[in-house]
Amino acid sequence: MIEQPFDWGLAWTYVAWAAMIAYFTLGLAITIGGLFDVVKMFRRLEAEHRNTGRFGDRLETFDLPK
Amino acid sequence: MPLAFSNIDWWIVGVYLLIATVPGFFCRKYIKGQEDFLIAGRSLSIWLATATLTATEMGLVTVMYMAQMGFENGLSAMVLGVIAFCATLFVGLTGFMVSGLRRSGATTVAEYYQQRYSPGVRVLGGLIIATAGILNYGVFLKVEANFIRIITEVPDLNVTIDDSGGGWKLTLAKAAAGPAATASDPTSTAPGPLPPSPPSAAGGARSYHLSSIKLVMSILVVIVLLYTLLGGMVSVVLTDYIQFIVLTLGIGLTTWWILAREPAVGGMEGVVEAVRVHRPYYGLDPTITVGAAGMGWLWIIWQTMHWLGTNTWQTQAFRTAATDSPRTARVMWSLTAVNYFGRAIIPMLWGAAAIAYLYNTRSPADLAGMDTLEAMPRLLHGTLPPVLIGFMCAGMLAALMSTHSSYMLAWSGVLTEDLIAPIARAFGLHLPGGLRIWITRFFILCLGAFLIRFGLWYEFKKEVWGYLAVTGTMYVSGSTALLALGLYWRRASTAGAYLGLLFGAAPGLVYLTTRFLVLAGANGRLNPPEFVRTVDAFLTDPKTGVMSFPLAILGMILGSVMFPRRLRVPAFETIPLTGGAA
Repeated sequence: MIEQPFDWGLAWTYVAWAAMIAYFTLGLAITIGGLFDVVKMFRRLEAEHRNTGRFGDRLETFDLPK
Repeated sequence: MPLAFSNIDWWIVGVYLLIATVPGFFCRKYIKGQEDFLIAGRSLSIWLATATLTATEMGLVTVMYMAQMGFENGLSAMVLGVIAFCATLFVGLTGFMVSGLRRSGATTVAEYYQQRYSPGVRVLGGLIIATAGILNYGVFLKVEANFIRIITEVPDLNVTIDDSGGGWKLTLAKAAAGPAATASDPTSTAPGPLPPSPPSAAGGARSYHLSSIKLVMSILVVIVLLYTLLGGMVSVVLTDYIQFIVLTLGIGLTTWWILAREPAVGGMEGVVEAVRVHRPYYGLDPTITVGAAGMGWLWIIWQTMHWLGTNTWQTQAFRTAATDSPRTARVMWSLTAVNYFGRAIIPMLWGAAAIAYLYNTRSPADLAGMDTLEAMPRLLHGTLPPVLIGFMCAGMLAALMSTHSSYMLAWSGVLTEDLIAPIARAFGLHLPGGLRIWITRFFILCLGAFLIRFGLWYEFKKEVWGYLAVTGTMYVSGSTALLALGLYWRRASTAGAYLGLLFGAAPGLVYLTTRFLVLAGANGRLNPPEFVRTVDAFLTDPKTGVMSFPLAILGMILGSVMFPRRLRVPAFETIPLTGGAA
């Protein structure tokens, strides 16, 4: 077998380890950060839902006085 | 010795399906308009946006085709991960196209075409986007079914309906191996269910053969359809987040387990050595091609262009549009670069590990006729123990569902917003938001039906990635030219946009047409002329891809020079005589 001038095997080993470490570290960060973002998104959507409501919800505000 | 998919693994998968999908059904109340339905009211912050983009783009089909590349081309395939990382990081750091797209406020890429060019460009662009996207999406289920079939070994069933005694009696039994195995193979061109047997003379008993894998895949698609139909992007984002966690956990545990298999795989050293022996030269050096094997410079150039423009792919453009600001869009893309790095490299490592495992445990005769797409599932099936295989399968189902939900939403959104609504407007009809949501839901249903009914037909020329990248390039080449030149070149004109779209899609269309004709010829249905076969042999995946991008840019420049844009710059500056504020 002809010797290759550059050790591709070693280079791909480093690339594979770099990818795994980076991917799983970011995965952990996204899992934690994403939880806060989910709560934030639903708070925002809930507030908008309360303010605007659906068409059916708005009708309920026209209840007759007791 | 392959390990069986045990009852506890089915329980893990079942519990996961409940946890990951049920929350999606409760998001319907937040959907008040098309903007909520398609882009979650532009409410995504950085981490959630990155999670949903990663979950969408890391489908089971992605894991399959990346692993196939790793098995066929060895570790040199990993150059794709390096290209994806560098190109996406460049997009994130500079905001190339994504900042402009987010700032424009457009929901779809074709909506930007209308803002910048004309409504006609939007309709043509929408047509190309939807066609390329749906062609691309159509093969997902076939590839995914292969994985689930190998991992779970789910048996086919014989269903017997007996109505001889005045009432109905339904009997289910495992089908015998043989013809049943062929029918259950989603890659087989044989029809799925066998025709019912004639009623016996004694009574009205009829037997049907039921392909379990097709049934399982259909049920999964229906679950995804339901939560996407109800909650749109809000459901998709929430389920994507849960699916991202399960997916990452499944991938992490599986990678650790595979690399620790001694002596079948032998760690990273074992993988490198197996590639060096069984994929000589081209398996390590990405610039070398040996016949049809290996990557080569042409392929590297094509992929670099593809990954610079891939953020215009509608499922990804929706995430850019759904972020709460252009800054969030840029940060999301910078973080996604890391995810794209892992998304390519890790499954490719599994594929390369399959070289070590299969060549160490099987005879060359066993491997001679094997479909390379099946190498990685066979590695997992042969090495993962119970419970871990359940977690891995749950992770892969997470990948499958998150991708399907986003793709259904994206392509049905394009059909509604970029084809139906503009055409209706041309006839003087304005479609209100509520009606557009229902039209989008109708298209989601149609896509689900298309996927189940026709999703198993295409025969791949070489690798799955080749087909996906060519259909993707049909769209991405034109959209990159229109978006990049539209944002950064004042003189880009409507005529240029038409030409850019057509020129960019042309090589891919020729590729698919000649492929279809040659396949029809092979099946004896047609007799294509010789030049069609010559073009089909000439148009490899990299040649098609490499031609598309320069052609799209050339079309854009030619059209803009020949039919210049009328810039709205006044010949003489006018000064308001009133002296008031302009």
